[in-house]
Amino acid sequence: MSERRTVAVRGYTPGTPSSPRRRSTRRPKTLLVLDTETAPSMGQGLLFLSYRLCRVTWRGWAPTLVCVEEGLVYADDLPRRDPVGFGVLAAYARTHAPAVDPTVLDATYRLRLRSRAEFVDQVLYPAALEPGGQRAWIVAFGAAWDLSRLLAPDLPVSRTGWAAGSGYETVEGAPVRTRRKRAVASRFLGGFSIPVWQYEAEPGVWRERRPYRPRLAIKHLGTRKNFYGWIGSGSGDSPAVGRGGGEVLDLLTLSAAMTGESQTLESACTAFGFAYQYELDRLGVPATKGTIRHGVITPEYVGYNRADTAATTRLAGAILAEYGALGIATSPTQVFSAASLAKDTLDRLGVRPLLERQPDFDPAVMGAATVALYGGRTECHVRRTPVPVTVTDVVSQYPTVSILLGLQEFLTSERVDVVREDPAELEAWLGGLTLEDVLDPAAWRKMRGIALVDPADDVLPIRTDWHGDGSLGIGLPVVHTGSPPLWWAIPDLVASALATGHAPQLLAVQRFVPVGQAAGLRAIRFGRTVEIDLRRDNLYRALIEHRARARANRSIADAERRRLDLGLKVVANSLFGITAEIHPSARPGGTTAVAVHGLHSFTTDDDEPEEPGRFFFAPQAALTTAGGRLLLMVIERLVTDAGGTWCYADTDSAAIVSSASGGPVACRTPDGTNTIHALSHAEVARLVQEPLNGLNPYDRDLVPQLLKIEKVNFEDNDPTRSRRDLWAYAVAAKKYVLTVVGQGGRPEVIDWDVGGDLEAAAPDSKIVDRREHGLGYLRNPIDPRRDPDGSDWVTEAWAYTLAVEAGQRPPTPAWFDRPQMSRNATLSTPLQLRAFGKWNQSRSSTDAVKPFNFLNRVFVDEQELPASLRGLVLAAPYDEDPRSWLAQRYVAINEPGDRTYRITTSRVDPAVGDDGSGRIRVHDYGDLVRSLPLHPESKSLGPDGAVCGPQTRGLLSRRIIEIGEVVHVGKESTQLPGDGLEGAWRRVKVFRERVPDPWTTDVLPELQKRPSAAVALGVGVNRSTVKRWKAGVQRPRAAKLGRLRALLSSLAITAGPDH
Amino acid sequence: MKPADRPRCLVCGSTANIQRNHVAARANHRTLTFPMCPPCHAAFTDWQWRLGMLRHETPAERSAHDELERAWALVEGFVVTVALGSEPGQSAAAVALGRAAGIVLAVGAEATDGPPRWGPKPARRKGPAEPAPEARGTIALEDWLRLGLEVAAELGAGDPRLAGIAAGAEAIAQQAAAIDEPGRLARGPELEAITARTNATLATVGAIGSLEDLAALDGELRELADVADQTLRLLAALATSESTEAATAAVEAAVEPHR
Repeated sequence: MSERRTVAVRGYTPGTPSSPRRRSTRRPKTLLVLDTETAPSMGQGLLFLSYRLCRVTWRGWAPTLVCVEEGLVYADDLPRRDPVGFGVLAAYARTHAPAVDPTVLDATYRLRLRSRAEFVDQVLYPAALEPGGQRAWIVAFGAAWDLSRLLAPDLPVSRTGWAAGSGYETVEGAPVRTRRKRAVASRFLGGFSIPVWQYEAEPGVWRERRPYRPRLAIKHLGTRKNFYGWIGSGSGDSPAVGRGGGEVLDLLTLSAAMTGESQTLESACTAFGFAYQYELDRLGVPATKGTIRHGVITPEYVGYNRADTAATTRLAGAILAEYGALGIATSPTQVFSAASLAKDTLDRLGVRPLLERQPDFDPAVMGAATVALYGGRTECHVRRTPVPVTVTDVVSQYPTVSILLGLQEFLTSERVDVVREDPAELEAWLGGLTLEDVLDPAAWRKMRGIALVDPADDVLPIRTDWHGDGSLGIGLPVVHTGSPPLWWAIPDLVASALATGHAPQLLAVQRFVPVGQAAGLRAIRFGRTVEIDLRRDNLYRALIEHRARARANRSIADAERRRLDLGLKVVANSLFGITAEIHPSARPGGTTAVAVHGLHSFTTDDDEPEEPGRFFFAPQAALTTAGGRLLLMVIERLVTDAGGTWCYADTDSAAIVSSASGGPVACRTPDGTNTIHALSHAEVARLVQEPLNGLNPYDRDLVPQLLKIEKVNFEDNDPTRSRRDLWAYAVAAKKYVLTVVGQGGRPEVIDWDVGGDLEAAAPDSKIVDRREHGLGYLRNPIDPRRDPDGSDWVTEAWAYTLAVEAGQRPPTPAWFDRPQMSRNATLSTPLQLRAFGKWNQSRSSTDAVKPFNFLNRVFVDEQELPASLRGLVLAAPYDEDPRSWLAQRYVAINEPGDRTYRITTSRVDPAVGDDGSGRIRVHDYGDLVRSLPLHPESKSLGPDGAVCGPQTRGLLSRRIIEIGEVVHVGKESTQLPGDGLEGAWRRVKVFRERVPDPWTTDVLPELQKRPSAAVALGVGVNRSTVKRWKAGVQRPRAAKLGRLRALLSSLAITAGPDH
Repeated sequence: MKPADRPRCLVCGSTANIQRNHVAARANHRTLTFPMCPPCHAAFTDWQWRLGMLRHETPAERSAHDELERAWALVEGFVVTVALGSEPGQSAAAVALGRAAGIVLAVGAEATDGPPRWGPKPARRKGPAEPAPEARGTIALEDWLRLGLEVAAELGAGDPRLAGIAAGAEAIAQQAAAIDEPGRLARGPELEAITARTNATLATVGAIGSLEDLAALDGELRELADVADQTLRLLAALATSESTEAATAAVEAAVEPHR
């Protein structure tokens, strides 16, 4: 029986075509590297920092850094606030030599100690910003945090633009006078503008030094991504900054972009070939990074900070060297993610974005293709039942699909024509399609198109609110007859035909046909050994094969091998994303009319319109992900045709129910047999892996199998060793854990008799892989001193869950009672800071919460809260020690005053009064772990035929959905105004069709026909008001509008319809 | 005036438009000057700015330079002159001496008056970023020694904090008597060894944190002075050698104490 549901499809908003950004090829001659330490208070103001000024000489793109100045900088008020700490700093500076190069005659003699104000005047400004100066790049690891600590501390809140009850002044709303200034204003719209320079106008009265010094502008773009700049009065460039001055190189961003992974300073050092600890040892600091006590100034702490700066300096040199060796042309300061590197690669290859090659590409077609755009297929198929599995993974799924579908031609063709085809032809082809046909690569080239489908029990992806909580998810249900027609990509139709055995009913078909070859394609080099030329090579194949070749080639230098391994992987993985890239527009001003193309074209009002990225091309993006889903469907068919099933699927991987010798496995099933069949490992190889390899587009010597048996299936994750007995336990999409058990047993045999120590409890049994989905937004609650290397609390959570599922009563880990602590409590936009407006009102700027502050944010248990306190948001100064979290005093960030609250995680003694006295109950980690297995896979039906609920176990099946209303939505992950702390609340933008405006459609045209004087007299306003109405810059209010309507009606009657 | 009598640039030997260069900057020594041609003078002046010897000051500030700064300026002026007039690549010893003097004097100044106003400020540098003055010519040895003598004569004027520098200056003075022929400076591995030793000593000097530290490092400072002395002896010996054998013998003699 089907359910009727509202579904969401993506809409395409053309936006303003972005012109290619002019590249800065300037290589700096100086770097100013810094790292800050902060006070352990809510304000997290500057305590001190260390910096190094390095001269850079370039040989090609390889930099040599020579340190010519090193210094320490203390907060302006430190001597008064912490005289002991200041004394330590001063003594340290007197007794330690700077790490400058002794062969440089004009390197400084001493480790300089300066105040913040002296530093920004004597070092930051002349070295990085001053017109005609060195234009040093400012380098930091996590620059948004470090640079925002430099804010001028004595400016009164009201004068620095901390608007009433709000945070720092934003660029938004600032006067925009010239085109150049408009560009700058747009760039930082919605960002912070932070005053750094101040002066004492009269005793005790501080003012900002404007316009003679700039403000620091930072706009948060996403996790680890920020724009930086220095702006003058209003919002334009500052005349006090030299052209190109003040560029910021954030190594946090760059290292993540170049490795494709989030990095810490330590891990980035390792990734780029040296050990962080070396810098600590070299400076004689008797500690490791994890054991340093923060917040109290000691010689060790100062040494640690200097080591951080030293490591950051060395990392800058290493990353820039790698960057140059890879031949990347974009300035490192303009790289925000791996996608930037992919775009750079295409630019260097001479690939022009399709909308530049073909600006007249029909936006309605682009909209239809955007409707057909869905993400990867993720699902749980065997729920809350441990089953033996073989975990498989399609090698580089999206590049593979791009090769099979021939999507490179979209990049290299002169244009892409849209050919409308008779739907009956495609329907006939789909009707006769067999699995064997799909396993022939030649069939894939016929799938480059989209079709309007009249659903008739087809298996197709849809996007809907599965859980009823307002969040959208993509599922693959049976779409019931009677649903309205929607556009889907042809690979999805093929997948449906494979799943159902019948062809979907098609109403229209649009094929994308590349025509000709674009001019300007050229060869580029990656590293020293790889050359790619799109006139000759397939980019996707070249990236994968050269990477495999480099990894296997022992004759090339280690550095080159590592460089190619990282560089080629990052680019290959990012090529898909840039074809689907959508970002919020930075248009200044309020709501604007935006054209939306989807199932049909319409206009909507939007206050933050989305714009496509430069390489956005919905047909390519939709085909890529649909191709990925088709590959998973092929695997599903191969497995089910062999009599087996799968436990879960996750975009490019599938866990096939499989054991060494195969056979029945107990599991609740819809057919009542309560048994599913596990394929043997040999059957997986013969019946799944081998047939699928017919689609392998790569050199078989380099990529022998398209469907890879993952390392986790082998002893010690070593594919050269024997297979191990791997079990999967899945709860929902992306929520699963992989275990191995000894003696061929099942996970239930784990004997949980030692507190929290799974390996001690069952030496042969252990968790070998687990997902953090639904847990990763929280910090590690395990005491870092118990395990300095960082215990894996997620693994312990899964181990506890497994034990409970096995009917055991495992002891409760100590961290269960600790309050859930958000990992992403960073204040990265002025809108978020607005939540602290009341808190900041009663505090000096030193103690006020500032941009990019970290917080300890807990989650209040609303059920245990008196009605008078509902909506309480509690936060405290950042403290990394979980043992302190319960004892901390928290403040309500959404109410004024100095009031602090105590918290508890106990349900027995919440003891909170209506006035907030006593303790407020907050959610603890135990709440989360105990509910871990209860998260339902709402996209599916349980074995009993009911929608999957928290207690559902066993084999799931597809839901049958009838599409009701269809709404157009924007990018799923867009963070919108009104959201709170990063990662806390997100919602999806819905494009609502604009309601016709009677003023624009009826009143104004009529008004413009009439003399202003007559109208003014009739309505009772002066003539200039009427002229403003006519010009569209002002509207009459309700009363006058009524009189105006009446007047215009009477004038129309008097004058007749033809006047 | 006969061509031979015309004033010559101390650094490059040019006779065109010779100017009087205040070796320690006018504010530090009003009368001590050396002849330089405009390009060499400009290069010298650029380094005076980079080292903080010249800086934007009010007349009152300019007249308030203390004895430590004057001594420092004299040494750095000497060092820059030597580096400008040495064979390419040979300025390492001069740089080492200049940095040693700077560190020692900065420590002295810090101990009494706080961080000195003088000294390099790399953040404010504008223009090229070479680590040391690039050779523009070869100073005639007699001129070089005369320069050393004149600088030495101005040093050690009663301030006990200048002992280390005065020792180095004394070494220069002693060399003057032994050399009576002009020659050219040469380069050799031994010179590099001595330079390396100087730098090693500098690392120790660089760790000086207070006057007490300075006193405790008396041995090291003597070592530094000794190294400077040996360096200068070697340079002088090489400069006066007219054959490879003679140069080798001179080097042997110079480096013997270090073996």
